[in-house]
Amino acid sequence: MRSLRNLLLAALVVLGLSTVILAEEYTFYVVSHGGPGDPFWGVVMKGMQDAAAMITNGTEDTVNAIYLGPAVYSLTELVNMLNSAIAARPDGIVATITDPAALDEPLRRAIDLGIPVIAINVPDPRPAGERIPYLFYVGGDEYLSGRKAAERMLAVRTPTRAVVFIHEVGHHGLELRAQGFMEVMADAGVPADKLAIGTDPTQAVEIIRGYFSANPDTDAVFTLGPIGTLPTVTFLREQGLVGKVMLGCFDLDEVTLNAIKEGIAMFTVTQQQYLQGYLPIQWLYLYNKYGFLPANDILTGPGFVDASNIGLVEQLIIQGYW
Amino acid sequence: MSDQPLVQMVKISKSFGTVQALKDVDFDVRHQEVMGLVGDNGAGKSTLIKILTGVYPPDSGEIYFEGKKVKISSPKDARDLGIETVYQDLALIPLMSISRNFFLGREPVKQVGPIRLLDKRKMDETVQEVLAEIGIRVRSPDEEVAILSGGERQSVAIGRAVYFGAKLLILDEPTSALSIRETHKVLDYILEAKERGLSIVFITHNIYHVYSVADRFTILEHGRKVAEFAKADVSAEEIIEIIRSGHKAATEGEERGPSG
Amino acid sequence: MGQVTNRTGRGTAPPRFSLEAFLTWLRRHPEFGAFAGTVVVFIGFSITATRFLTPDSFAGILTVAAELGIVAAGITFLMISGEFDLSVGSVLGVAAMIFALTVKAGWPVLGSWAVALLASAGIGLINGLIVTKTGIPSFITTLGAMMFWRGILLAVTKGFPIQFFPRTLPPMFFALNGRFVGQFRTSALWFLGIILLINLILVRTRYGNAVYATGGNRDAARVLGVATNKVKLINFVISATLAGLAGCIQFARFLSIDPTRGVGLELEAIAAAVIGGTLLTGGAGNLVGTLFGVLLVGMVRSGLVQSGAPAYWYQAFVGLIVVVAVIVNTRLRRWALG
Repeated sequence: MRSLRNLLLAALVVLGLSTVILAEEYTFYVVSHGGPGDPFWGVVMKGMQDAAAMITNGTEDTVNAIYLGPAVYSLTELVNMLNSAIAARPDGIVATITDPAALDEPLRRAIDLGIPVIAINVPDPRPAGERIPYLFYVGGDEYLSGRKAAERMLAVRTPTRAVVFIHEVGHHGLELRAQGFMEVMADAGVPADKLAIGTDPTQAVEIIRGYFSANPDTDAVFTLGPIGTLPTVTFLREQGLVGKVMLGCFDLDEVTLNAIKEGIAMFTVTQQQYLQGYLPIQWLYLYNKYGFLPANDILTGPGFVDASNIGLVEQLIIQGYW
Repeated sequence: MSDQPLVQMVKISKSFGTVQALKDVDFDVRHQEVMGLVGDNGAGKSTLIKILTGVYPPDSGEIYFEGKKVKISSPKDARDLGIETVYQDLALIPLMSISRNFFLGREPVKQVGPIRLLDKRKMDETVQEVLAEIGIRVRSPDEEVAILSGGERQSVAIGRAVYFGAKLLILDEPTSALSIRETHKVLDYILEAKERGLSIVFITHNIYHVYSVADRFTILEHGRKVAEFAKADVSAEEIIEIIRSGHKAATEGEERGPSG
Repeated sequence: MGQVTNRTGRGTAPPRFSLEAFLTWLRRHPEFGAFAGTVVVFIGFSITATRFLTPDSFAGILTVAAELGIVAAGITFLMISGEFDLSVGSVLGVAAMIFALTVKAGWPVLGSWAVALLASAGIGLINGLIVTKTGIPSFITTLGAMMFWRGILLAVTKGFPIQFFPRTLPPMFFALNGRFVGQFRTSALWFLGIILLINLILVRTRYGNAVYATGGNRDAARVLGVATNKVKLINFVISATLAGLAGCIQFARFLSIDPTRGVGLELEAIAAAVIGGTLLTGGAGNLVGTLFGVLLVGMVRSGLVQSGAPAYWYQAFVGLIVVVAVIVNTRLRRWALG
């Protein structure tokens, strides 16, 4: 009898101890080139927080997810933040590979230190042997997004002339989107241009006006983000060109949303960036705890929002998921 | 001509911390006279003048202007009394026109509806007249002061003081940066101003310059007045000697005494 | 009294057209360089871009010029009195944000506008007080202000833009930036009105004289009784208020304001002022020059796009123009002074 009781007690102790021992705490850093000022990243942050909360509340483990991003786009700031994150010796790092050359050294160092790294939003474009050896990439495919956007337009009708409005020249991701779009258009025999419009809407409208004045047959426009969408929508509305010019946008914000609802824009491309915050946290947890790893990159985009699903998406935007 | 001096500073003392800049200095200037205020660096000339023009108050002593005791607490007070100063580099603003400089702070205006606009015509006409009197010829009073030579600028500043009814004009190193020809022009103009009824305090290191126009001289040394002469009683070389070799020489000079 | 002759040995001659007369006129008008440049660029683009000479094209140039110009006007006035304001871009953003938030909250539009302008004036006052009371150079003070207010903007908005979707456009919005004839907007009227008013104050009032004096030689001005600190304080307030006005005007058209609006504006405004003949060191310049400076900058951008040049060139072109303009203005000045 006594030995049975002792056995039970011992089992209880072991069980209790194992719960304590097996309950882990993980700290993951998400370091990205996007900070406050771009609501796009607000959604990524929510994905990150939701994933961390889900694990913390649903298991015995605790996940701390911390987001770092510079207020104004600055590569140096990004690298500094990354170095700070690495110095904290976290259990995992999630990073946007905004500039592979600049991020190569710090990330390789992190990986050598045994910190698992997942890339999001912007991948390292180099081939497998050369690129930064992060575990995998979660994000959109910029080039593919541009291509699919053009294909969508061509499915409706072949435009006489197409133009891409780029608001941040030299931004690798934007340039890839533009390239994909322009190549598909060119293959279809449509003359396609790229126009740098800058970030000030008043000036952008005038640049757009100048382009249309020189190219009045333009009837397809692709913008690469909300900063480009605002002046474009304003211009089309003011000039009465709604319906005459096909407009494809990128990412979601209130202006883009309304443009789709009012029929000014045909669609907007999304990269479902919620997943870019959510999935890496989940995977870092699974990898740290059980060693699981997906076999391939996870593409979260291109996804499309247009008149057919705008109703659902609109609700979710308010809640911060889109 | 009354015997009463225009300005009388009595037993003025001033220290800055432990440094006694002035001690018991008496200084007076009569009506329509040119007084040369001389002395080596650090003698206290600049401090004395700053007290007279309201930049700082004296620690002790009194100032009388036209016979009445006055308290000069700010540069504005001094200007209101009729004391004007022409500093070497601060007299005119080179980027502005002669007209604007002349009337700075006292511009004539005409009412146009709810606002007061500068009376450009009056400004230009007045300046044109004054320039003609001084003998400076320019294409227009709207020209920048920068086109005037150093001597011309000094003359314009003096002309400004005369125009605005200054009674006492203090010139701080007016000829130091000028050529010989220019210097003579300015000295001539100083005498002109005196003819018009002004008194002038001429502060300088160049004894020969001041000697040619001054009526009397006050010599300061280490914050005290060590000598005062009428021109008739002293030569330029003697003044230089006093400044150069100090109080001892001054005492010897006093033995010779003023005449009359 | 000896004989005095002026530099060329001639006495006062009756006015007649001559190189002399032109040089004198040139001395009094530093904006000539910008004016000439504007004409040259205008002619140039008229040749390379067929639609350049249309009313729509002019209206477009004027629209861009108006917003930049309102800010540049304030900065010019401040620069002439010897100080800089690098915070105008952030003030534009803050004012627009306040305008947007209050209007969305249902306040009467006029009241919202007034609050936005008052807030801008307040920022200018703070800038001015720091500069005049502590003696910290305005370049540093307003640089700090630029970063501070931009940070406040980001923190308050948490990065999200503010968008306003009224059922009908409030009349005040139309008054600020509505289209009244073709593509011409009321913002151009604000711009021209402000240029005229401020130039009048600068060139034709006692206060304007004090502004020139304060910038030309602050110590000399002070010695002559000019209240230089008060002048600077007032000009800081004016500069910031005008920047705030530009922010409200922009919002009135786009109905949307994001927290990065106005970044980089200060340098463009200073460039326009410098192109127009205002000296970086203060004491000289006028609003007419700024007018041409702003038009020139607007024309270059529009003309390049309409000529089919890659719009990537715009930045390089404006930089080139600024340098050329300063060289030309300096040479002209030297030539005019003989």
